[in-house]
Amino acid sequence: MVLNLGFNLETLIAIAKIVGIIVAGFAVAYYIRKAVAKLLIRSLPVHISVAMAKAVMYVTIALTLFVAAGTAGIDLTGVVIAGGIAGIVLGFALQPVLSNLFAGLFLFSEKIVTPGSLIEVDNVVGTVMEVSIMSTKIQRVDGVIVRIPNSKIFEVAVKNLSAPPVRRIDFVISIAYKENAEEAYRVIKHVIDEHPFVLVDPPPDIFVHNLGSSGVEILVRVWVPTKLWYEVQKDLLWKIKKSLSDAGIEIPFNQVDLWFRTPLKIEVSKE
Amino acid sequence: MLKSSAIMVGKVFGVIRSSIAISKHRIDVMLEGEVTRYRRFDGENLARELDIVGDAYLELVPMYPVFLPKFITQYILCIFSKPIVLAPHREARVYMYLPIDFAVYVRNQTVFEIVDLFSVDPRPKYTLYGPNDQGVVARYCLTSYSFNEPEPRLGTAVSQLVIKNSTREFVTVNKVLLDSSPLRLYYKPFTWDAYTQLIVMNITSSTTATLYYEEPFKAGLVPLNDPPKLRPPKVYNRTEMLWGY
Repeated sequence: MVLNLGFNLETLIAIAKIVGIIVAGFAVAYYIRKAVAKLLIRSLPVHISVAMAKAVMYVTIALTLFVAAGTAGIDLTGVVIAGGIAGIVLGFALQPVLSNLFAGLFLFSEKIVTPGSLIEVDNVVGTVMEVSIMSTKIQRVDGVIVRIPNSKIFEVAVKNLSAPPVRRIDFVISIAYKENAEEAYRVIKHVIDEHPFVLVDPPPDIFVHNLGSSGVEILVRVWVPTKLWYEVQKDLLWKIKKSLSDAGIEIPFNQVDLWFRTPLKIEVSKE
Repeated sequence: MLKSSAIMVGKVFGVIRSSIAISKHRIDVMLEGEVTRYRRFDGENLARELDIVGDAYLELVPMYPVFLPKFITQYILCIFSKPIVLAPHREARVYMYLPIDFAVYVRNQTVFEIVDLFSVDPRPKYTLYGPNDQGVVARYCLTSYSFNEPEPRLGTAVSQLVIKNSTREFVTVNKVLLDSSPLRLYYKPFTWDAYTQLIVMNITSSTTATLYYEEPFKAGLVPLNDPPKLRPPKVYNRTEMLWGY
């Protein structure tokens, strides 16, 4: 059977098949994009979820076109080989980029760092300003803004300093051996009890933890609200020092005893 | 606004019309032309001084004890001086004193602003309720309870607490965690009397309890206009105690 248009039926069927594959592929790509976006948006920011869903859609469209071309009888062997080589080259070239990208996705999904939290990572202490797909922007406590690649954050230990509601402060206070340690304990305890932000529970701990070379070392451990950690640390150490001084308790300088193997000859001037 | 007088000394919540003495604090208000001068003395020391210009008046009100020395939490953990042991499926109705602070509002007919806060408690303390990693910081309050309604006292609000044991075991109640947001304060004008609403504590297991904030248990009280930080939530009007009671 020959149509007036000059196409035979087989050609028409083949064209319909190709068009069908393309239409179905585009439809599938569209719904995959929606499904992926809906899935990712639960754990990732909106803009990243949308971008990833679009990437999945374009890959699906590319595969659709690939299958359609195969159906049309186009030989794609050369394209496959070229694509494979290009993929390997790109894979090596983009390794750092991809590692940061996937680290960023893990950071988002696991919520290791979130904007506003105070963290310590790779010897940088600061507040997280922004977590993007490739890097994390942190404002250090001295105000400097630092950008850290996500792969770095993923590799090293991250300390979240603001997540727990309370933090502990440790002080070592040295008093001279001649001083009354019990009196020093009473003075320190009074300062701690008077301070509103030294928490009642967990209870403070004060004890002699070392008989040092220069003095008796008293360890003071207190828990404070995380929000006020820095403020209380400054305030408390100052108040303890002042109270000990007011009570006449000596905080000793470092002392070193020198011993001479042979008798030391000392010449005293008569002037 | 009336001119202040060092001789007139009021002792009341409500509009400040004269000098007021509260424990060691003294408030003086003076009207000079269009300017209202406010001064608060802590003992002999001038603790707060400000001038108010415009159509406004000052009001002394009770305040949730979470603002001093600075606001860091809205929770108040009341520790009982002696525990209450409750039989299975029984309830106890007790009264307790809740510490309160004092606030001075400057206000007109529509809006208000806190201009001063002070406390008669010389040493407020805070504590942690719950574990180190998940708990909440709360204002610490050591309190006693009674089975009969006590007389209100300066610097405290009387709170009625119904403790229900919904478990099959005996339970020992040592503490109650209050949230200043759903908690409401009420006061009786022209007195120092302050109250909270009825609070129902439902004990649901050996470690958990839920607090429900009900209606005031006394009539003729004026509700406190809550500061913005502590306006009650519209939906969630309860507190979960997850780490013991």
